[in-house]
Amino acid sequence: MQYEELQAIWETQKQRPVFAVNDFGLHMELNRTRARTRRRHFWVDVFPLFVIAPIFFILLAVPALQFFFQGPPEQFAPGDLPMTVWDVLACLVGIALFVYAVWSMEANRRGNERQQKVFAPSLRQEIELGIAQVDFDMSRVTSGREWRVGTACIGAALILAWEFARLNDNPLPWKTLWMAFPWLFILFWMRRTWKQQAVERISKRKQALEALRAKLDENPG
Amino acid sequence: MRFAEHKSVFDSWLSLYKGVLFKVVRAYAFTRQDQEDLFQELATQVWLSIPAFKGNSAPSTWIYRVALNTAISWSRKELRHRDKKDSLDHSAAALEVCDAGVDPRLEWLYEQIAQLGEIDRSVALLLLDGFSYQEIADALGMSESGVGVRIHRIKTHLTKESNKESRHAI
Repeated sequence: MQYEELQAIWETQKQRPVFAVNDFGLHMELNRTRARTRRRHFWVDVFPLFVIAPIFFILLAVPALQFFFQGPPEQFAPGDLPMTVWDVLACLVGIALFVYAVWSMEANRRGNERQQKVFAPSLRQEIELGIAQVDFDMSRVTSGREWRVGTACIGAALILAWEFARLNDNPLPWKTLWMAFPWLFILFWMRRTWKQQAVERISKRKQALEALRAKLDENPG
Repeated sequence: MRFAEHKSVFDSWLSLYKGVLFKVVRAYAFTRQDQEDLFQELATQVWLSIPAFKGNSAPSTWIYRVALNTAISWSRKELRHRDKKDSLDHSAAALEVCDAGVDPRLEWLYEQIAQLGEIDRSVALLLLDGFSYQEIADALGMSESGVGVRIHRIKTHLTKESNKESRHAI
Protein backbone atom coordinates (compact mmCIF):
# COMPACT_ATOMS: atom_id res chain seq x y z
CA MET A 1 0.00 0.00 0.00
CA GLN A 2 1.31 3.43 -0.89
CA TYR A 3 1.42 6.34 1.50
CA GLU A 4 -1.26 8.17 -0.54
CA GLU A 5 -3.68 5.34 0.16
CA LEU A 6 -3.02 5.61 3.88
CA GLN A 7 -3.63 9.33 3.57
CA ALA A 8 -7.00 8.57 1.95
CA ILE A 9 -7.91 6.25 4.84
CA TRP A 10 -6.99 9.04 7.25
CA GLU A 11 -9.26 11.46 5.41
CA THR A 12 -12.31 9.19 5.90
CA GLN A 13 -12.65 10.30 9.53
CA LYS A 14 -13.54 13.81 8.35
CA GLN A 15 -16.86 12.40 7.17
CA ARG A 16 -18.03 11.05 10.52
CA PRO A 17 -17.43 11.78 14.19
CA VAL A 18 -14.98 9.54 16.00
CA PHE A 19 -16.16 10.36 19.51
CA ALA A 20 -19.49 11.35 20.97
CA VAL A 21 -20.48 12.47 24.44
CA ASN A 22 -22.24 9.79 26.43
CA ASP A 23 -24.76 11.64 28.63
CA PHE A 24 -25.17 8.82 31.12
CA GLY A 25 -21.40 8.31 31.35
CA LEU A 26 -20.90 12.04 31.85
CA HIS A 27 -23.57 12.11 34.57
CA MET A 28 -21.91 9.21 36.41
CA GLU A 29 -18.44 10.71 36.01
CA LEU A 30 -19.58 14.06 37.44
CA ASN A 31 -21.28 12.23 40.29
CA ARG A 32 -18.10 10.24 41.04
CA THR A 33 -15.97 13.38 40.95
CA ARG A 34 -18.33 15.17 43.33
CA ALA A 35 -18.35 12.22 45.76
CA ARG A 36 -14.56 11.99 45.55
CA THR A 37 -14.18 15.70 46.37
CA ARG A 38 -16.45 15.38 49.39
CA ARG A 39 -14.62 12.28 50.68
CA ARG A 40 -11.29 14.01 50.19
CA HIS A 41 -12.46 17.03 52.17
CA PHE A 42 -13.46 14.81 55.11
CA TRP A 43 -10.32 12.63 55.18
CA VAL A 44 -7.79 15.37 54.47
CA ASP A 45 -9.23 18.43 56.21
CA VAL A 46 -11.60 17.30 58.97
CA PHE A 47 -10.59 13.79 60.03
CA PRO A 48 -7.07 14.80 61.20
CA LEU A 49 -8.71 17.13 63.73
CA PHE A 50 -10.71 14.18 65.09
CA VAL A 51 -7.44 12.32 65.58
CA ILE A 52 -5.62 15.31 67.02
CA ALA A 53 -8.46 16.14 69.45
CA PRO A 54 -8.21 13.01 71.66
CA ILE A 55 -4.40 13.07 71.59
CA PHE A 56 -4.51 16.73 72.57
CA PHE A 57 -6.88 16.05 75.48
CA ILE A 58 -4.83 13.08 76.71
CA LEU A 59 -1.71 15.22 76.68
CA LEU A 60 -3.66 17.90 78.50
CA ALA A 61 -5.10 15.45 81.01
CA VAL A 62 -1.66 14.45 82.34
CA PRO A 63 -0.66 17.85 83.80
CA ALA A 64 -4.30 18.51 84.74
CA LEU A 65 -4.53 15.29 86.77
CA GLN A 66 -1.09 15.96 88.22
CA PHE A 67 -2.31 19.34 89.41
CA PHE A 68 -5.70 18.30 90.77
CA PHE A 69 -4.44 15.12 92.48
CA GLN A 70 -1.18 16.39 93.87
CA GLY A 71 -2.43 15.80 97.41
CA PRO A 72 -5.45 14.32 99.23
CA PRO A 73 -8.62 16.09 98.13
CA GLU A 74 -9.43 17.17 101.68
CA GLN A 75 -6.38 19.45 101.67
CA PHE A 76 -8.30 21.80 99.39
CA ALA A 77 -10.67 23.66 101.63
CA PRO A 78 -13.60 25.31 99.79
CA GLY A 79 -12.25 28.31 97.96
CA ASP A 80 -8.72 27.19 98.64
CA LEU A 81 -7.94 25.71 95.23
CA PRO A 82 -4.55 27.09 94.21
CA MET A 83 -5.96 28.50 90.98
CA THR A 84 -6.78 32.11 90.39
CA VAL A 85 -9.72 33.26 88.34
CA TRP A 86 -7.22 34.09 85.60
CA ASP A 87 -5.97 30.50 85.51
CA VAL A 88 -9.53 29.23 85.14
CA LEU A 89 -10.19 31.81 82.44
CA ALA A 90 -7.02 30.84 80.54
CA CYS A 91 -7.99 27.13 80.64
CA LEU A 92 -11.48 27.96 79.41
CA VAL A 93 -10.10 30.10 76.56
CA GLY A 94 -7.70 27.30 75.56
CA ILE A 95 -10.45 24.68 75.54
CA ALA A 96 -12.86 27.04 73.75
CA LEU A 97 -10.30 27.71 71.01
CA PHE A 98 -9.84 24.03 70.40
CA VAL A 99 -13.56 23.27 70.46
CA TYR A 100 -14.07 26.15 68.03
CA ALA A 101 -11.48 24.65 65.65
CA VAL A 102 -13.10 21.19 65.58
CA TRP A 103 -16.67 22.47 65.60
CA SER A 104 -16.05 25.06 62.90
CA MET A 105 -14.62 22.53 60.43
CA GLU A 106 -17.20 19.86 61.16
CA ALA A 107 -20.20 22.23 61.12
CA ASN A 108 -19.05 23.64 57.80
CA ARG A 109 -18.66 20.14 56.36
CA ARG A 110 -22.05 19.00 57.66
CA GLY A 111 -23.76 22.03 56.16
CA ASN A 112 -22.32 21.15 52.77
CA GLU A 113 -23.17 17.45 53.17
CA ARG A 114 -26.83 18.30 53.80
CA GLN A 115 -26.89 20.09 50.46
CA GLN A 116 -24.79 17.57 48.55
CA LYS A 117 -25.93 14.19 49.86
CA VAL A 118 -28.79 13.92 47.42
CA PHE A 119 -29.21 12.00 44.22
CA ALA A 120 -29.36 14.22 41.15
CA PRO A 121 -31.84 12.60 38.77
CA SER A 122 -30.70 14.55 35.72
CA LEU A 123 -27.43 15.68 34.18
CA ARG A 124 -28.48 19.30 34.60
CA GLN A 125 -29.07 18.85 38.36
CA GLU A 126 -25.79 16.96 38.67
CA ILE A 127 -23.98 19.90 37.06
CA GLU A 128 -25.73 22.35 39.42
CA LEU A 129 -24.69 20.26 42.43
CA GLY A 130 -21.17 20.05 41.00
CA ILE A 131 -21.03 23.85 40.72
CA ALA A 132 -22.35 24.20 44.30
CA GLN A 133 -19.60 21.81 45.49
CA VAL A 134 -16.98 23.79 43.59
CA ASP A 135 -18.28 27.02 45.17
CA PHE A 136 -18.02 25.38 48.59
CA ASP A 137 -14.44 24.31 47.85
CA MET A 138 -13.59 27.81 46.67
CA SER A 139 -15.10 29.37 49.80
CA ARG A 140 -13.01 27.04 51.98
CA VAL A 141 -9.88 28.11 50.16
CA THR A 142 -10.55 31.84 50.10
CA SER A 143 -12.44 32.43 53.35
CA GLY A 144 -9.39 31.87 55.57
CA ARG A 145 -11.21 29.32 57.74
CA GLU A 146 -8.26 26.88 57.72
CA TRP A 147 -5.94 29.71 58.71
CA ARG A 148 -8.21 30.66 61.63
CA VAL A 149 -8.60 27.02 62.67
CA GLY A 150 -4.85 26.38 62.52
CA THR A 151 -4.13 29.52 64.53
CA ALA A 152 -6.78 28.53 67.08
CA CYS A 153 -5.20 25.08 67.51
CA ILE A 154 -1.71 26.50 67.99
CA GLY A 155 -3.09 29.14 70.38
CA ALA A 156 -5.01 26.54 72.40
CA ALA A 157 -2.00 24.22 72.68
CA LEU A 158 0.20 27.08 73.81
CA ILE A 159 -2.20 28.51 76.41
CA LEU A 160 -3.02 25.15 77.99
CA ALA A 161 0.57 23.90 78.04
CA TRP A 162 1.68 27.17 79.55
CA GLU A 163 -1.09 27.24 82.15
CA PHE A 164 -0.72 23.68 83.47
CA ALA A 165 3.04 23.89 83.56
CA ARG A 166 2.72 27.05 85.67
CA LEU A 167 0.14 25.49 87.99
CA ASN A 168 2.43 22.49 88.52
CA ASP A 169 5.18 24.85 89.70
CA ASN A 170 7.19 24.13 86.60
CA PRO A 171 6.62 27.29 84.58
CA LEU A 172 7.72 27.28 80.99
CA PRO A 173 10.29 29.92 80.22
CA TRP A 174 8.98 32.98 78.37
CA LYS A 175 10.99 32.07 75.32
CA THR A 176 8.55 29.17 74.82
CA LEU A 177 6.22 31.77 73.32
CA TRP A 178 8.59 32.18 70.42
CA MET A 179 8.09 28.53 69.59
CA ALA A 180 4.68 29.45 68.22
CA PHE A 181 6.11 31.66 65.52
CA PRO A 182 7.81 28.96 63.40
CA TRP A 183 4.56 26.98 63.50
CA LEU A 184 2.54 30.02 62.47
CA PHE A 185 5.04 30.71 59.69
CA ILE A 186 4.86 27.11 58.43
CA LEU A 187 1.06 27.30 58.53
CA PHE A 188 1.08 30.61 56.66
CA TRP A 189 3.56 29.40 54.05
CA MET A 190 1.77 26.08 53.48
CA ARG A 191 -1.55 27.81 53.15
CA ARG A 192 -0.22 30.34 50.65
CA THR A 193 1.32 27.69 48.40
CA TRP A 194 -1.70 25.44 48.68
CA LYS A 195 -4.15 28.30 48.11
CA GLN A 196 -2.63 29.32 44.76
CA GLN A 197 -2.75 25.76 43.43
CA ALA A 198 -6.20 25.10 44.83
CA VAL A 199 -7.73 28.29 43.38
CA GLU A 200 -6.31 27.44 39.95
CA ARG A 201 -7.58 23.86 40.10
CA ILE A 202 -11.03 24.82 41.38
CA SER A 203 -11.42 27.66 38.83
CA LYS A 204 -10.66 25.26 35.98
CA ARG A 205 -13.25 22.84 37.26
CA LYS A 206 -15.83 25.57 37.64
CA GLN A 207 -15.19 26.80 34.10
CA ALA A 208 -15.59 23.27 32.77
CA LEU A 209 -18.87 22.78 34.62
CA GLU A 210 -20.23 26.16 33.55
CA ALA A 211 -19.29 25.45 29.95
CA LEU A 212 -21.13 22.12 30.19
CA ARG A 213 -24.18 23.86 31.62
CA ALA A 214 -24.09 26.44 28.83
CA LYS A 215 -23.86 23.66 26.23
CA LEU A 216 -26.77 21.88 27.84
CA ASP A 217 -28.83 25.09 27.76
CA GLU A 218 -28.04 25.49 24.07
CA ASN A 219 -29.05 21.89 23.31
CA PRO A 220 -31.69 20.97 25.87
CA GLY A 221 -32.65 17.84 23.92
CA MET B 1 -9.20 39.99 26.68
CA ARG B 2 -12.61 40.01 28.35
CA PHE B 3 -14.02 36.74 29.67
CA ALA B 4 -16.93 36.74 27.18
CA GLU B 5 -14.55 37.24 24.26
CA HIS B 6 -12.20 34.56 25.61
CA LYS B 7 -15.10 32.14 25.95
CA SER B 8 -16.45 32.88 22.50
CA VAL B 9 -13.01 32.19 20.91
CA PHE B 10 -12.75 28.97 22.91
CA ASP B 11 -16.25 27.80 21.90
CA SER B 12 -15.64 28.49 18.23
CA TRP B 13 -12.22 26.80 18.30
CA LEU B 14 -13.64 23.80 20.07
CA SER B 15 -16.50 23.40 17.62
CA LEU B 16 -14.26 23.89 14.57
CA TYR B 17 -11.18 21.96 15.67
CA LYS B 18 -12.35 19.37 18.16
CA GLY B 19 -11.47 16.79 15.50
CA VAL B 20 -7.82 17.77 15.97
CA LEU B 21 -8.09 17.19 19.71
CA PHE B 22 -9.77 13.81 19.17
CA LYS B 23 -7.01 12.72 16.81
CA VAL B 24 -4.32 13.71 19.32
CA VAL B 25 -6.26 11.96 22.10
CA ARG B 26 -6.46 8.75 20.09
CA ALA B 27 -2.79 8.84 19.23
CA TYR B 28 -1.58 9.40 22.80
CA ALA B 29 -4.13 7.79 25.13
CA PHE B 30 -5.35 4.24 24.89
CA THR B 31 -7.92 3.61 27.60
CA ARG B 32 -11.24 5.37 27.98
CA GLN B 33 -10.21 6.94 31.26
CA ASP B 34 -6.91 8.17 29.83
CA GLN B 35 -8.65 9.53 26.75
CA GLU B 36 -11.04 11.51 28.94
CA ASP B 37 -8.24 12.81 31.12
CA LEU B 38 -6.17 13.83 28.13
CA PHE B 39 -9.11 15.45 26.35
CA GLN B 40 -9.87 17.49 29.46
CA GLU B 41 -6.20 18.49 29.73
CA LEU B 42 -6.07 19.50 26.06
CA ALA B 43 -9.23 21.57 26.35
CA THR B 44 -7.82 23.30 29.44
CA GLN B 45 -4.51 24.06 27.74
CA VAL B 46 -6.27 25.39 24.64
CA TRP B 47 -8.34 27.64 26.91
CA LEU B 48 -5.21 28.90 28.69
CA SER B 49 -3.36 29.43 25.41
CA ILE B 50 -5.93 31.80 23.91
CA PRO B 51 -4.39 35.06 25.26
CA ALA B 52 -0.99 34.00 23.84
CA PHE B 53 -2.38 33.49 20.33
CA LYS B 54 -1.21 36.44 18.22
CA GLY B 55 -2.59 35.29 14.89
CA ASN B 56 0.86 34.61 13.38
CA SER B 57 -0.31 31.15 12.33
CA ALA B 58 -3.65 29.56 11.52
CA PRO B 59 -5.71 28.62 14.60
CA SER B 60 -5.57 24.98 13.53
CA THR B 61 -1.75 25.06 13.56
CA TRP B 62 -1.79 26.78 16.94
CA ILE B 63 -4.23 24.24 18.40
CA TYR B 64 -2.20 21.36 17.00
CA ARG B 65 0.94 22.83 18.56
CA VAL B 66 -0.70 23.28 21.96
CA ALA B 67 -2.38 19.87 21.80
CA LEU B 68 0.74 17.96 20.78
CA ASN B 69 2.98 19.62 23.35
CA THR B 70 0.37 18.96 26.02
CA ALA B 71 -0.08 15.36 24.91
CA ILE B 72 3.67 14.70 24.95
CA SER B 73 4.02 16.16 28.46
CA TRP B 74 0.91 14.33 29.62
CA SER B 75 2.14 11.06 28.20
CA ARG B 76 5.53 11.40 29.96
CA LYS B 77 3.85 12.27 33.22
CA GLU B 78 1.40 9.39 32.86
CA LEU B 79 4.22 6.92 32.29
CA ARG B 80 5.92 8.15 35.46
CA HIS B 81 2.76 7.90 37.56
CA ARG B 82 1.23 4.87 35.88
CA ASP B 83 1.87 2.61 38.88
CA LYS B 84 0.40 5.07 41.34
CA LYS B 85 -2.86 5.54 39.48
CA ASP B 86 -5.88 3.59 40.54
CA SER B 87 -7.07 1.39 37.77
CA LEU B 88 -10.78 1.70 38.35
CA ASP B 89 -12.65 0.35 35.40
CA HIS B 90 -15.39 2.88 35.01
CA SER B 91 -18.63 1.30 33.99
CA ALA B 92 -19.65 4.22 31.83
CA ALA B 93 -17.28 6.58 30.08
CA ALA B 94 -18.17 10.20 29.41
CA LEU B 95 -16.52 10.04 26.00
CA GLU B 96 -17.41 7.11 23.80
CA VAL B 97 -16.10 5.99 20.46
CA CYS B 98 -18.84 6.05 17.85
CA ASP B 99 -19.26 2.42 16.91
CA ALA B 100 -21.31 3.20 13.83
CA GLY B 101 -19.09 2.79 10.85
CA VAL B 102 -15.72 2.37 12.58
CA ASP B 103 -13.30 1.77 9.75
CA PRO B 104 -10.91 -1.08 10.64
CA ARG B 105 -8.30 0.41 8.32
CA LEU B 106 -8.44 3.66 10.30
CA GLU B 107 -8.19 1.70 13.56
CA TRP B 108 -5.12 -0.02 12.17
CA LEU B 109 -3.61 3.31 11.18
CA TYR B 110 -4.13 4.70 14.69
CA GLU B 111 -2.51 1.57 16.13
CA GLN B 112 0.51 2.08 13.91
CA ILE B 113 0.77 5.73 14.91
CA ALA B 114 0.52 4.75 18.56
CA GLN B 115 3.54 2.49 18.14
CA LEU B 116 5.73 5.38 16.99
CA GLY B 117 7.85 7.41 19.39
CA GLU B 118 6.32 10.49 21.06
CA ILE B 119 7.71 13.02 18.59
CA ASP B 120 7.17 10.81 15.54
CA ARG B 121 3.54 10.44 16.57
CA SER B 122 3.14 14.22 16.47
CA VAL B 123 4.90 14.42 13.13
CA ALA B 124 2.67 11.66 11.71
CA LEU B 125 -0.52 13.38 12.85
CA LEU B 126 0.52 16.71 11.35
CA LEU B 127 1.70 15.04 8.15
CA LEU B 128 -1.52 13.10 7.67
CA ASP B 129 -3.51 16.27 8.30
CA GLY B 130 -1.69 17.95 5.41
CA PHE B 131 0.69 20.30 7.19
CA SER B 132 3.83 21.34 5.30
CA TYR B 133 7.36 20.50 6.48
CA GLN B 134 7.83 24.13 7.52
CA GLU B 135 4.59 24.15 9.54
CA ILE B 136 5.46 20.87 11.24
CA ALA B 137 8.92 22.18 12.07
CA ASP B 138 7.43 25.38 13.53
CA ALA B 139 4.79 23.55 15.51
CA LEU B 140 7.25 21.11 17.08
CA GLY B 141 10.24 23.43 17.37
CA MET B 142 12.43 21.32 15.06
CA SER B 143 14.49 22.01 11.97
CA GLU B 144 12.91 21.42 8.59
CA SER B 145 15.58 18.89 7.69
CA GLY B 146 14.95 17.04 10.96
CA VAL B 147 11.26 16.90 10.06
CA GLY B 148 12.16 15.60 6.59
CA VAL B 149 14.19 12.75 8.06
CA ARG B 150 11.40 11.79 10.44
CA ILE B 151 8.76 11.97 7.72
CA HIS B 152 10.78 9.71 5.48
CA ARG B 153 11.16 7.22 8.31
CA ILE B 154 7.45 7.36 9.20
CA LYS B 155 6.32 6.89 5.59
CA THR B 156 8.66 3.95 5.15
CA HIS B 157 7.44 2.39 8.40
CA LEU B 158 3.75 2.85 7.58
CA THR B 159 3.96 1.57 4.02
CA LYS B 160 6.09 -1.38 5.10
CA GLU B 161 3.64 -2.32 7.85
CA SER B 162 0.65 -1.85 5.57
CA ASN B 163 2.21 -4.13 2.98
CA LYS B 164 2.80 -6.76 5.66
CA GLU B 165 -0.85 -6.53 6.63
CA SER B 166 -2.24 -6.22 3.11
CA ARG B 167 -2.99 -9.90 2.97
CA HIS B 168 -5.47 -9.28 5.82
CA ALA B 169 -7.31 -6.85 3.58
CA ILE B 170 -6.52 -3.52 5.16
